[in-house]
Amino acid sequence: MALAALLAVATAVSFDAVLAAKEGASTRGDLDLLRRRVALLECELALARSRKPYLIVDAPGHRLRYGLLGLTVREIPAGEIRIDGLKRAHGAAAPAPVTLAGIMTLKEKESDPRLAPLTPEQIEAGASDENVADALPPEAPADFRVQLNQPVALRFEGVPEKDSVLAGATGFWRRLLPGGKRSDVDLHLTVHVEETAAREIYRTLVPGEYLAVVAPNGYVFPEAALEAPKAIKPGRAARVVTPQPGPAPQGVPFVIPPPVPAGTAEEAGSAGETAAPASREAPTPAVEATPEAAPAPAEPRETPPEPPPEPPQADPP
Amino acid sequence: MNMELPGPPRGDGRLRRLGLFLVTGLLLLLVASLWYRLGRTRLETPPPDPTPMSAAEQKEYRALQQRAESLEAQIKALRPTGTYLVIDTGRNLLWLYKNNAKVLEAVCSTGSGRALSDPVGHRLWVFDTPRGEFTIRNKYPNPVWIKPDWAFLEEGEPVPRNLAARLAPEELGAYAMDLGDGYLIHGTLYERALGLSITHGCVRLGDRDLESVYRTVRIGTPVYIF
Repeated sequence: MALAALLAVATAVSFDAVLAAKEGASTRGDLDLLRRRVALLECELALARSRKPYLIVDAPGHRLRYGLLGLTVREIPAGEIRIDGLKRAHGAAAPAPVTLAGIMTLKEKESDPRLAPLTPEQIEAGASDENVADALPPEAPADFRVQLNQPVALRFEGVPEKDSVLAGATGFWRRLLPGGKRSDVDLHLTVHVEETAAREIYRTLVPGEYLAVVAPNGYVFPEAALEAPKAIKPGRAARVVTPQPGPAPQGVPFVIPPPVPAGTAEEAGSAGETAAPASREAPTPAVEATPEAAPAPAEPRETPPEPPPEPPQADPP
Repeated sequence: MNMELPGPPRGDGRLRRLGLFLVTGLLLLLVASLWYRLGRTRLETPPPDPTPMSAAEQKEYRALQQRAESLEAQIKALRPTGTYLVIDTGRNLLWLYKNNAKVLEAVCSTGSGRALSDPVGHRLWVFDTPRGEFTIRNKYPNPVWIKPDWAFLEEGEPVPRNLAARLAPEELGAYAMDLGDGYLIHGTLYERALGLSITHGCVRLGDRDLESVYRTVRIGTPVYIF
């Protein structure tokens, strides 16, 4: 049973900095740091090979890091990363790597606009011009939960952790009533970031997104909480299409994005799945040429139609 | 002399009970907060174990060091090189890299994440910009957009049957770059909306940035969207 531990992560130095400083490392503390670093690198390699973006929640380093193909595309400093459900690391025996760092897959985010499709009437009622700012969906929330495919509850809080009695009491009650069925969740993560950053994170997260998390020093995750790197299937590289010889294209017929059958938003987009027939004006493409064709669990994205193998000639207005 | 004191007015007992309830609640809140804070302090990260490593642990340490170096090399080998685009859907920014140096940062617009249902045709569209690795599949000057059904449904207009009624010659700006699956990087008539998550999945750029990107990228240039 998971030990309900509450942690204020205090280690403000990254693995690299510690290891660099400890050239002649010789203590068990050094070994523990290296084990965590290797476990995280194993996760990152698997995620980089998936050729999809991923988000690393680096609790010891107090930061969030977006990556894609091993490239760090964005770093966000985190105020505090609170983790409930950790276990104390005991003894000198090496813990299983998945208890030091593991992978999660996003299932659904709170208040996701795609879960409540609008009707044409609703859009018409909101704005006469769909391109004006008034027609935007509601602003992304700064404080939100995300559901994961693993027994982990993750919450982003876009406000700084206040050091007041009221904040303490709020945190206490939130800890007691974290939402969802407690029995289904082995681990609770709460990430404090700056408000704007939280909204930006919300916009980047889509179902199927990978997240990796590394345990703070001295603690391990419950074994069943996270996925091991081997669970992530490598993706296929995007195909480079050789342009067809011929005259310059005169028009671009597109359906952006194409339709999918109603009620399949949650399932559409997984490997090999085809959408509803594309509209007449857009021929259907070779789906395997894009990363979407790679195995993507529960990606609620429509499978769009293919552009023509060669540009159309008869479409100019 | 006997004097009868008047009894407490009605409602006083209720007020007293309410006060007592509030004070008790506040006290409980205070105790809970203290418990919370004490718990946090007690469970902070312990200092690293200073116990010297045994011979077996030193061997494991050396093996892990080698493994870490190998993993870092494998990750580094996957990183893109040369010319490529990176698009941040959270901040609505696009970067153009050449030889790993950022040469352009542009404000763009990406997908709204909104969903539209067609109750009559029983169709559903999700207006997301796809994430992952893509390549520029084609480049089009003066693209003509053929408006799909959802564009008419959103406007509350009937979906036309003839192609000519669907043509929107200036909607996509001066250039379009095809990412595949119907998604484009293109221009916009609504530059004031750049920086907002407002599109139907495409990536919109302002005129000047669009031209810079169009002239720099080639067919096959990688595009990374997160």
